[in-house]
Formats: sequence, structure tokens, C-alpha cells
Amino acid sequence: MRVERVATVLDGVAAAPGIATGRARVLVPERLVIPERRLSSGDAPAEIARLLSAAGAARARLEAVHRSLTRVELVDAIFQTQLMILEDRQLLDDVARRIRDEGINAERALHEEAARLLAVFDSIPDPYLRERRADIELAVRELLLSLLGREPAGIGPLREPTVLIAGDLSPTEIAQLDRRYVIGFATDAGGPASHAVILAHSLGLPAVVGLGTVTSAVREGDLVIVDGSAGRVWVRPDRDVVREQAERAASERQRSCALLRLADLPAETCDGRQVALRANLERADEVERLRRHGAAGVGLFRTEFLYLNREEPPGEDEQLRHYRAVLAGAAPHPATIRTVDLGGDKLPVAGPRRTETNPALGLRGVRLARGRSNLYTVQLRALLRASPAGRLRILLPLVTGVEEVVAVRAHLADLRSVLEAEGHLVAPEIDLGVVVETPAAVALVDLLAAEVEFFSIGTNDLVQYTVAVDRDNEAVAYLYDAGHPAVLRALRSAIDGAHAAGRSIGVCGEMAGDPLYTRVLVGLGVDELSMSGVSVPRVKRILRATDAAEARALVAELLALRTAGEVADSLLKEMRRCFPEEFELLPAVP
Amino acid sequence: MSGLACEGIFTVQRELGMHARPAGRFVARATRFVADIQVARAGSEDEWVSGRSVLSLLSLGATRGTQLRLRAVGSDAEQAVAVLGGIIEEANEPEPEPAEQESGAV
Repeated sequence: MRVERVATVLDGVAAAPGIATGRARVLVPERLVIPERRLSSGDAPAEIARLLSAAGAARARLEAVHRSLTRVELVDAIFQTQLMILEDRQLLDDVARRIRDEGINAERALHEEAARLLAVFDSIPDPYLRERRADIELAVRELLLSLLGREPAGIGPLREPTVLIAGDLSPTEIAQLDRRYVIGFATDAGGPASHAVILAHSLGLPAVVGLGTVTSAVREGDLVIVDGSAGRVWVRPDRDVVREQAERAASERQRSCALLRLADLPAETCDGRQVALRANLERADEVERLRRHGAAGVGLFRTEFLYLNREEPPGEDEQLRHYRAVLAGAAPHPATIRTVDLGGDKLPVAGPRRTETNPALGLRGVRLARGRSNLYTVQLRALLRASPAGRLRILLPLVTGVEEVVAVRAHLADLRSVLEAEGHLVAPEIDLGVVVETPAAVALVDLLAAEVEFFSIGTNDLVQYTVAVDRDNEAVAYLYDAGHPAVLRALRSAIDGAHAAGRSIGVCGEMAGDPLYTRVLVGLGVDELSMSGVSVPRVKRILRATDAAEARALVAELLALRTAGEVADSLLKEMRRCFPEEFELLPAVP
Repeated sequence: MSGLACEGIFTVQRELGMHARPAGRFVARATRFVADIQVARAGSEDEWVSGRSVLSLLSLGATRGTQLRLRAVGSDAEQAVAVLGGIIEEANEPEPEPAEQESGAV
């Protein structure tokens, strides 16, 4: 009699997005049996030679696997660490010594030396450094397989779309999966930063890890759905779930999975012009998501949240912690941190507030730095002290004149001397830049260029100040349009001016993250686009399908138009023609 | 081997400590010196480890702020301590320089 087995849902760690439905192939974890042999006297040199040649073979195999993969920084790091361990002289010397002194075979000697080494790592108090033991375990296993003359257990021939179920998968195993049939995997082990997650991401393979019991819940041949976006696995789902997930999968696979697969591809046009795609952050802990989105560092860290909803401004040490986290998380890419951009009316102050009738034109942004205010002194000190943690770029908001930048630069130089005298480390090179968000800054780009290393155009405010519209005012919001001819001309003027002075210039407003404008901004010549992390994949897809020369031609056409409406019509028509799936859902332009 | 010996104490500055990448660079650079190079946590100098082993360096568990004592013995000991001490005290990974890669490949 056939026993009906019930449907089960398991939740784990979402490792790589996308939905995969297929038959399960359950990998039984292979326990390597360590053979034990006593060596006869005089056999040690031959056994040591066998160890060294096995290490050489293991390295060669790893290098071959690595070469077969797309070159991605994180994947490179995994394989390079493996290779370093496999050529570690101390490790090989210590194993050789055991072979010689204890008269045991290479496998046994390696096993014992690895156990000693892992025990040393287990006693390291720092969790990050302690986790390097995973690298050692992997490398030792590779070497052991090589000594035993075995390939890692394959998964056998596959004939249909297969979801792999395993206790754990090594980077090499994942890299060698037969991609024609393996459509996703689910494992018992693994956390958000495990090797399996990094590999699954780079291969664009839907995966859920850290499920704990998936190998016991699933039987060979079961129907399984892996939802790598939600971190959920359905085992033997009923027909409704299958249909529902199939519909989701169809749309999601086409979109997010394919898009996130782009995360590791270079951000460049199809004719090779590079445009750095960076993330805007509101909070320091968001920095962890940069890699997942494929963002190259931080183009704008807004520091305002540190100042909101409190009685007193944050102290130097508190700010330092946040800035360090952002810098370290963005490294090796730069982290651009904007000094506080609150209006004076929103800053924490003791005593009565002065009310401003027109705060948008009032005391805010870099104007708060005047007279080396305590507010700025504390923030700049925290920034300088954080600078050794990464590549700091300091961005000044609402600049309208050269003297504002000169004053902050002098303030920074004096603070650097003070901090160094106090014994603090300060990075030797810290770039200073300004947000181009006022018509004054646009007009002065050539003069400002002499005082700064870079520019970032804040399009939200630039549009508002250029067309004199408060977009929160419904009566006039229709006038707010990033494609307004006056805005396009301002952008062209700022970008050309920065380049003429040899300075890089990017865009950090909402326009940067709107795929509708990607071609326009590339055509205008921006060096950098900074946006909310989730927008990076979509913008990158447009960027990679854009030819820089064609984008310049598009800009020339748009700049010849007379009204914001004409620009919007023409741009949307062109973008729909090139990317029908991306822009089909946009409402028609009235 | 020349008897020239040199020592120095250096403080790890990296946010994540001496992890695999800097340890790998340290070893790659250390092997290009003639001098024998050893490293220990300052205060635990009875436990020296080889400066030419990534695993040994990692096993020190040197987090940000850890002081490491560096000891080199050999004709270029002084230069070795200066260069390798510099790697310990780097705050973050330098961009790979073409010149460095070239000489590393020799």
C-alpha cells in the first residue's frame, strides 16, 4: 500500500533569489574514511613526496575550477584563500614532520595536524577570525581527496530539472554543478555569509541554506520548490502551491534573479565606458547589503538620522562608530559621507527655536558650518578619526560659494593637526566634494573645481531650486520634472564644467536610480550614479545595454526639445522601444 | 645566514584584523626577504610563529588593536621589519599596483 506523505514547508536563510521547482536529488554527505598505515623505516621520504605531489594536484584542480568561473571579487577571495592554505609551508612541514617522527601515513598525519590546527582556531575569541576555520576544513578536505586519489563525489548523471538537497556544499562542488539540470539547491548548513551563499549568488542559482533538517525531510525524487527570495522550501507541495509558485517564478525569474545575477558583472556600457554604481544609505547597518546589490561602495551616506528625534546632537564617539562601519563595509570602494543636511529647524537644540518662514532657503546644509560651529567640529573630527577604516570622501551639502568650501577645508586641515597631536590616526588622503544642488553651484563649477576633488549632483534639490517648485505642494507639483529642459541644461553645464577641470562628477538624487534616465545620464557623461541599493541591478541592466555614443545622440535630441512634456514623451518612447519589459507598466504620459 | 637581527612591535589597524587577505600579502612579501621572519603576539613571545605561513599568522587571531612583535634575522632584517610592519599597520587593503604585481610574478 502506498503511504501518502504530507507536504512540508521549511524556512531557512534566503541565499540567492529566484524560484526553482524540480525533482530532488539528495546528496548523502560522504564521510571520508582516513586510512591508517604504519610506515616501515625508510618509507617516510616517499610518503612525504606523495603528500607534496597531492598538494600540487589539489592546487591545480582548484585553479582549474576557479578559471572556469566568472571572475568575481568574492569568489576570487574564496579560491585564493584555499590556494594559500594548500601551499602553506608550515602546514606541509608540520604534516611531513608527523609522517617522519610518528611513522604514520600522509592521510593520518594530515588529519591529526588539521585537528590540532582547528583546535587552535576554535580558541580564537574574535568570531570573524575564528570562522576562517571553515577555509581550513575545505582546503584540508581537498588535499585529503587528492591524497586518496579521488574526485569529489559527483552527483551522478541528471536527466531532468533537479533541485539539489545536501548537508552542505563546498565552493568547488557548487562551481562544478551541471548547470543544464541543476536549477537550485537547499542545504542544512550555512549562514548568510557562507561560501555557498556567495557562490549561489555569483552563479544566479536560487538557493536556501541553513534549513537544518532538509536532508531528512526530503526523499530522493520528491517534488521540491526552492524559493531563494523568501528563504523557503516546499517539500511535496500540492497542486495549488505548484501553480502559484510557477506563476511567481515566471515573472520573478525574468526580473530579479536575472537582474541580481548582474550584481557581479562590471558596471559599464556595451562599448566599455565605466560608470560607478554606488548605493545611497540612510543608516550604517544598510552597508551590509551593498555586495548583494552589486553596488561599488557608498555614493551618499546621509548622516541626518543620527541627529533626528533626540535632545542633543550625537557625540564624536557615537558618530565615529557609524562612520567606521560604513567605511569598512564599503571598502575597498569609497564611502561618501555627507555632512549633516538638516535645516536648522530640525536640529536638536536647547532652548527656543528660531522659526524660519522659508526653511528651504534658510539655515541648513554647509551653512551650519559657519564660524567653525561645534556641530560641524564634532562631525568633522569623527569623520577624520574614522578615515583609516576605508576610503573616505566627505561631501558638503547646499554649497553656493567657493568661500564655504575653503572654510571647511581649512577647518579640516586644522582638525587633522589637532587629532594627530592627540595621537589619532587620520588617513593621508581624504577627498572633499560638494553637492551640486543649487543653480549657484552649477554656475560656479569651474571655480569650485579648484577647491574639491569631486562633485555629486543632488537632482532632487537641483530640480526644486531650478524650476522653483516645492514638489510637496500639490498645486505646483506638476512642474517638478527631472527632464525639464532647464534641468537638462543645468546638468550638461555642471558635468561639462567638472570634466573640463578634470574632476569626476556623479548624480546622487532619485534621478540616478530611475532606469528611465540611465541613458540620459550616461549620454551626459556622468562618472558615477548613486541610488538606493535595490535600484542598482535595474540601472545596471540598462547601463550594460547602452552604447555611450548612442546615449550622447539621445541627449542631443532631448536637448533640442522645448518643453518638459516633449522631453518626457520622446524619452519614454525611446526607452520603451529599447526596453519594452522595463517600461511597459509606466503610466502613459498625458 | 648573517646574524643581523631586528625587532619591532606593530599594532593591527584593520577593522577585521589580520584576516586571510592581508595575511596572504604578508606571507607573499615575507618570502621575498632573505631574513628568517617570526611573529608573536606582544606579551606572548614564547609562542613565535613563522612569518611565511598564512595559517600561522591567522592562528594568532590578531584583531584590530592587537600588538604583534615582529622578529627578523638575516642580512635584510631591518628592511623586512619595516616593510612587513607596514603591512600589519595598514588600515585597509591597498589597490593592487601594477608594479607590485609585476615584481611579485618574478
